[in-house]
Formats: sequence, structure tokens, C-alpha cells
Amino acid sequence: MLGNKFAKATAAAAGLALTAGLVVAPASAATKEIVIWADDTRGKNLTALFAVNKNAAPGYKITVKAYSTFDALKEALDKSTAASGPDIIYGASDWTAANVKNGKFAPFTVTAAFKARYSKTDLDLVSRGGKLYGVPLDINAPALAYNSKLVTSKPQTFGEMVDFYLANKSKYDFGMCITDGGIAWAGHGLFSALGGGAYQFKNGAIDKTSPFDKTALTANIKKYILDSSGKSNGFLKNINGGLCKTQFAAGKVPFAIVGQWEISTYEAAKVRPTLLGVPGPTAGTAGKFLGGVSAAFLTSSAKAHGVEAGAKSLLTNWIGSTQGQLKYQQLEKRASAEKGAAKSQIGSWTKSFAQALSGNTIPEVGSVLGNNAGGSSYWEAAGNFWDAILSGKDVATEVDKFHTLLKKNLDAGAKDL
Amino acid sequence: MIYQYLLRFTGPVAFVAKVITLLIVNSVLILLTNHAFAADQLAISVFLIVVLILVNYVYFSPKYQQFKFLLPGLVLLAAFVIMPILYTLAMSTYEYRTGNYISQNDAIDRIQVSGVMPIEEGIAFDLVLGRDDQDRLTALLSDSFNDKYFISNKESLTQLNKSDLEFNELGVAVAAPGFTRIPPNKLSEFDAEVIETRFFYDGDAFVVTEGFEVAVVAQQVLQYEKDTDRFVNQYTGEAYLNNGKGNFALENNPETILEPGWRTPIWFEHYGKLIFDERVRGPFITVFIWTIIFASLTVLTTFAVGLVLALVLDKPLFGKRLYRSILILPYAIPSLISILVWGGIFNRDYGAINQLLGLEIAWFEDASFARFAVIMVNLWLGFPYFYLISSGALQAIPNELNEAAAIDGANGRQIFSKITLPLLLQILTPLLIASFAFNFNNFNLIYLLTGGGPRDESAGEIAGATDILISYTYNIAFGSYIQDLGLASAISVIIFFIVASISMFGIRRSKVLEGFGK
Repeated sequence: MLGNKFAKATAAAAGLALTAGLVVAPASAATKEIVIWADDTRGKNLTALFAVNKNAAPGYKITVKAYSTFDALKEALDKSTAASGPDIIYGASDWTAANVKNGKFAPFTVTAAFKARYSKTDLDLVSRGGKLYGVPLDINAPALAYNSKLVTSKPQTFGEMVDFYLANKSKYDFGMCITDGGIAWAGHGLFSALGGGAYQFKNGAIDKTSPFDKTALTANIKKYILDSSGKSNGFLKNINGGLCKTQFAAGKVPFAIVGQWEISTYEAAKVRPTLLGVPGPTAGTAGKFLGGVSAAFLTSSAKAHGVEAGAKSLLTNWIGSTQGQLKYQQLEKRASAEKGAAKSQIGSWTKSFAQALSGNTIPEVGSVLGNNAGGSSYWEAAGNFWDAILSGKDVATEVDKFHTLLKKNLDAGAKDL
Repeated sequence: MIYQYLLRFTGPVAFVAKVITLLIVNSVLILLTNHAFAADQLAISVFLIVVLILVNYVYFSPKYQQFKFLLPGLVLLAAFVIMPILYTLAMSTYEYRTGNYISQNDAIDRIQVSGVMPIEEGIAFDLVLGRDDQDRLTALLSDSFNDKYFISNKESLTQLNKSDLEFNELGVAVAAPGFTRIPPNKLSEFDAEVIETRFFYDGDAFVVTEGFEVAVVAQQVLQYEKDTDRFVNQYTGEAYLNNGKGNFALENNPETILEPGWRTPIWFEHYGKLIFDERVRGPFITVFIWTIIFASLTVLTTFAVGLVLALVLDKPLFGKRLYRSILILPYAIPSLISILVWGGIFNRDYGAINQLLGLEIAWFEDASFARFAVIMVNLWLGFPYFYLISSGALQAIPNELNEAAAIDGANGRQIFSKITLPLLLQILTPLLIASFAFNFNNFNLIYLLTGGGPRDESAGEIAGATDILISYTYNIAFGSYIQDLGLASAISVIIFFIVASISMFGIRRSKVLEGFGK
């Protein structure tokens, strides 16, 4: 019966038509959906947030896609196209330059009243060419903490921390480590306290002449980080962040550079961390941490998906509002970048962070930090520099090499501001 | 056998089975085509449509019996081998890097959007969207600060009397004569229309929406001129010309460019860089030499150890089966796990090697030690393979040859060097060549064990001491802030030709195998 050609052709055509109908029909009937990408931690919080705040974007379904790590999220964004990308992405302020260059982030305009609720520095971090690309969410900077059960008085200088460790060396595995964020980002405060820095800020702008003073950094490293034979004195250890966190929580390390998001770890361990900036060689000076903001960015995919107006509304009218920020930070537990929400946030930990960081941060400028005109970026090279120092290589040579690299990156990056 | 069985599987049941199978295949292909179209991937869409037509034509036609068996393989070959090669080849001739990532049309679109600037006065309105009597999209604009209210569509702007309006609790006008508000939960249906609409304001200025609640008065500062392929600043007259490198550059200051740029052909410039640009050429040559050494040493060491073990276990030996099982273990464990475990074993601070031997060697921080570690780990991963194939090959060498040589007075070493080894090499040479080609591209080992390092990044080194061409290429493509996919593609093309040449050589040598069989 089905043996003749006509029947075969009919069957094939019917099959094609049926499958085409099955496949295409649901796509055309799809509801408007705003897709948000975030890392795992933020993703979980955002899912919970939008599950109970269904009117954040009336008429739209909000879908949150969480990536296992921040790096995985960035990689996914790098590889996305306008069609496959998210409509809004929760990322870091130093992503702005590259993603504007690649046409992945889209600009939007906010009112003067909106701008007034954020610091100009924070808005500048997510702007390029005078256009705003994201809504600042929270201040992203680490701080130095000391375990006040072990260290009874607040160190005034870097030397006091080192002296404390050397006097009690037998009790501790080492003096200081970094619990999260890595030695390049979180360690910048330490680097800066010793006279270094990926760049300096003078009068509110990047100093384009030199990234740091080589002589001062060389002398301070020799004095505080190395012993008389040029080997590490054991104070600083560049170890895995998780291991550092465990050691600090266990009272085996007196000083650590910690993140705002780690409070639950220390509360569970009943550790009383006291926060401060990294003291410099002389009292009253402190290293500068890289202060970025996390931000919710609008992407050009929103237009491709036909949800740009909804995404802009969600960003400016809900995510960027005082109420929206408060609700989000109740889950995220970071210091809000929005002034109204920041005022309403309670918690001594968040307040202590704000105090410790006051005056002790410089803006995180992605186009300089990520620039690799010298061969590697600051992000890539900082770990290598510290490994070389701690493994006993010649300090002056290593400092000189690092300075040369950062100067090239600074020269190229400054043109791209 | 299966072919014979399939040939006998005819009749209505077979036909129904065929139709159902094709229905599923068609569904998948149409779904993929649909997604490819949605993602603006025209080449992939066309390919899928061609496959869809071919599949249905071949399987519903009685003419192409043999082609029915070949088609799946040919389609997969085209999809996963030929198309990626062609795409990589094409991309190697493009400026395709951070800043030059999207198409020119997309870049023009983005610059046009960025070229809309709020007017200096910074006028912003609270916005309510609706339709007027003529069903045009209309904006009801509230300037509460100045107590002014307007209604605007594409053609006109009308100031309204406050007394004619209704307000919400925030003082925003929500109703006006002749204006029908779109309910907030229905606005999503008009998203694209809202974004595209420029509501009339005054002269060159227009009102654009920023979401559904706010509108600002703006001007198109940068305007694209299609005829001359340039952007012109409408107020300063400055022109940004297409510089042929994927950017619009300011006429009198070419270093000032508009963002974003786009992918554009630069033909063989990347290949030229590999030869003439010292910053690219230096690391490339170093990495290339190490890649050859790494692949050669790997083949040599794994073959040597595998062969020695095969020879030892070829003799009668107590517990031979147990030894064989143990020797195959490294091959049975997924290489991913083995490499990560070895990474821990070589760790300076808590690695087993340093602790057991009382050493303090920073294995992955010194170029020589790291290279040694890489070769050792690859030896561990690779020797079972050569042990297995050498054992098999030894069985294939007729024992009479050894016996004849022994009768002629040859000693064991002479038998091995003059008979066993030449015959083994004759059998195994194609596999040794294949192993060389595999290790030439052994990305997993390098990436997971050393990450290509050690690399003196603080001195600006681009390539690490253990980087092989493929890991070096990965770093160029994805490893840093500036992702140069065009240059990475050019290196990939070179790798392809090297590996293809080696493979061709191996295939030619494999004829020896056929000869041995005869």
C-alpha cells in the first residue's frame, strides 16, 4: 500500500510538515522573557529574589541562569553572540571596557535623580565614553582582618604586623595570607602598602607617569617580607584562598585579607576579625585596595531578543531602586552601592568594612589592569611576581621587571580610558 | 552481516520504521535550523537545510543504496571536520579580536545607538505609554519638576493642560483626553516598537524611552552615512572614516576610533605577523621547537618503556597476569584524573615526590623541572598503550625467525636488534606517527598539569616553558584581556597543516601493514 512513490512522497511531506509545525509553533507562541546571567552565588540569590518579586518586570518572565564560577560566567559571555547572550548580566565593573568594545554591553540613560543615589565614582566604573552601561550593585573590595583573639592591639604599621608574627613564629603557620580574590586583586592592598601598585591615583585621576616607586617597593619587600639572607621570612604566604580561610578561621594565621561575603565562615568558627586597611611602613599610611563594584549590565542581546525596554525598566526601576537593592542585599549580604539602601543596611560587619575601606581604595580600572601591551596583564603577572619574590629570587630584578611590564600596560591602558 | 540483514528488512514495517526514524531526524534538523536562523547563523542554517533535503532524498529514493550508509558519516565529516577547518581558515584572514568582534552591520547599529545623546539641558520625563485616537503609539510625558505635561507621538508634541489630566500618587499623569493607556502588564507586547520609536520633541531633538517609566530628550549626534561609509558628528562636523581595519577612525586623528569595531578581512596579515613581528614570532618559534621535542620525547619514552615491559612479560613469568593487569591500570584511569593527581604529587609544598625524597624542588616554577615533569607524567599515561600494542606485535612475529637466528649463532641482543626490533618498527611505525600527531596537540596534559607554565609573566612573557602550540593558541584566543581569535586561527591553520602532513605520512606508512598481512 505504501510501496508506490506517491505514498512515499506524501508520507515524507507529511512527516516534514508535522515536525515543522511541532517545532516552530511553540517558538512563535513564546512569552517575553528577560534572561539574567550570574555566577553561582548571585544566581541562587537572584532566583530566590525574583521568585517572590514577580512584579519586578510586569508582563515578562524573568529567568536566571547561574554559572558555576565567576570565570565560567565571563567565559560564557565572551563566547556568546547577540542572539545567544543574556539580556542582563551580573558582572564586575572591570568588564565594562572590553564588552563595550565588543558591542556586548548596551548603553542606557538614567535621570539625574537616579544618578544622585549613586556615587560618581561607582557610576564612572560602569560607564564608558560618557554612557552608562550598568547599575552598580555592591562595593567590591576586600579588607585586612586580624584575629582579635590572637592580636590584642591594632597594628599601626606594616612593621608591627611582621614583628608580631616573628615574635610568635612558633605558634603560627605564617603571618598573613589572602582568603579570596587572589593575590592580584585582593593582594593589591598589600602590594600598595609596601609601595607598589598597578597604578596610582592622584587628584582623582590615574597617574600616567609611573605605576609605582621601584626603590621604595624593593626596600620594603627586603625589610618586611624577606629575611637577611633574602629568603621569605615566613610572614606572607601565597596559598590557595580556601586553605587560607580555613587557617585564619582556625586561629593558625593572625592576619588575612578577607572578603565581605565570608562573614558566615568566621561567625561559624567564632572568630572575631577586626577589619582595617593594610598599614603602610609608617603610621597613618595604608595600602590601596582595588575598589570595584559589581554591576548589573544591560546587553545588546536584549534588543536582539525584543526585550530591551523591559530590561531597561527592570534595571532602572527595580534593580537600581532603593527597595530593589535592599531586597537583593538582604540575600547577598554585601555593602550596597545605592546610597539609600546602604544607609538602611544593618550589620556591624558591613559597617566595619566601610570604615576599613574608607580612603583605602582606588578605582578598579579595567582597561589598565587587563591591558597586556607589555606581554601580560597585571591580573596575570601579579601572582608570578609574588611567587618569584617568595621563592627568593633577586628582589631588585623582579621589581624592575614588574615595573617595566606595568608601565607598558599603563601607557597603553591610559589611552583607552 | 548487518548489511545483509538490513537488505532483507523490507516491506511495510520497514517503511514505517524508516518514516518514524526520518520523522525524528527531520524534527531534530528543523529544530537546529530554526535555532541557527534565530541566531543569525546563515551558513549553518543553509548547511542544515541541505542535509535535510539530502537525507530525505537519499532515504526515500530507491536509487542510492550505498549512499544511504555513507551519508551519516559524510554529513558528520562535513559538520565537524570540514566546516570548522574552513571556518578557522576564513577567520585567520580576519581582524577578529577584542574590539573587533561583531559584524559591521551590528557595529554600525551599536554606534548609532551610542550616538544618541541626551540634550545638554538634560530634560527627562516620567513616562506613561498608550495609544491615541488613531491607534498610534503615544507617550504621555510628565515633567513634574516644572509642572509641564505633554503628549507625543512620532509626528507631533502637544502640551497639555494640567486640569485635563489624571495623576497617580507620585504626581505622574496617567490619563489624558484621547489617550488610552497600555496596561503595565501588556507593555511587554510592544517592547520592540517602544524601543524603535522616536517621539517628536523639537527640531532635531526627540524623545526616547529608557524603559517604560522614563523618557529623555535626546539628539542623534553621530549619524551614519551609507553612501560614504562614515559617521559624521552632526554638531561638530567631524567625520569618522572606515579605516579598513574594522573601525571608524577620526579623519584627522586616526587613533581616535568609535566603539565597537567589527570583524574585517585583513587577508594574510596574521601569517605575516608570525614571520615578521618579533613579539609574535619569538614565542611562536620557541613554542614550536618545544612542541616537536615534547611530542618526540613522549613517543620515544612511552614506546621504549612499553616495549621493554612487553619483552619482559613476553617470557614465561610467575604472576604474569597480575603484572599485566597492574601495567594497564594507568591506561584504565581517566587521564584527567591522573593528570590532576600527578599535579598534586609534584607540588612543591605537599607533593609526595618532594616529601618522600626530602626535596624542595619547585617542579612547576622552573622551566627544566616543569618540562621533565610533563614528560614523566605523559610517560605514565602513555606507556600502557605501547605496552599493549608491542605485546600484540610481538605475538605476530613468527617464532621461527628467532629460532633460525639462534641456530645460526645469533645471541639474544643480536636477535632483538636485527630481527625483533626492525619487524616491530615495521608494524608499529604508523602507530608511532599517530602518537606523535596526538601528542603534538596534547592540550589536556599541558593545560591541566602546568597551564603552559612556568611563564615569567611579570617580565611580559607570552608563552610558557611547557606551552605547546595548541595551549599557546588557546591563550592567545581566550587566555587574556585582549582575545585575538584571528591570530589564534592562523596558528591553528599552521597546526592543522603540520598534523595533516604527519597523518598523511602515517597513512602512507600504514601500507606497510597491509604488506605484512600478505
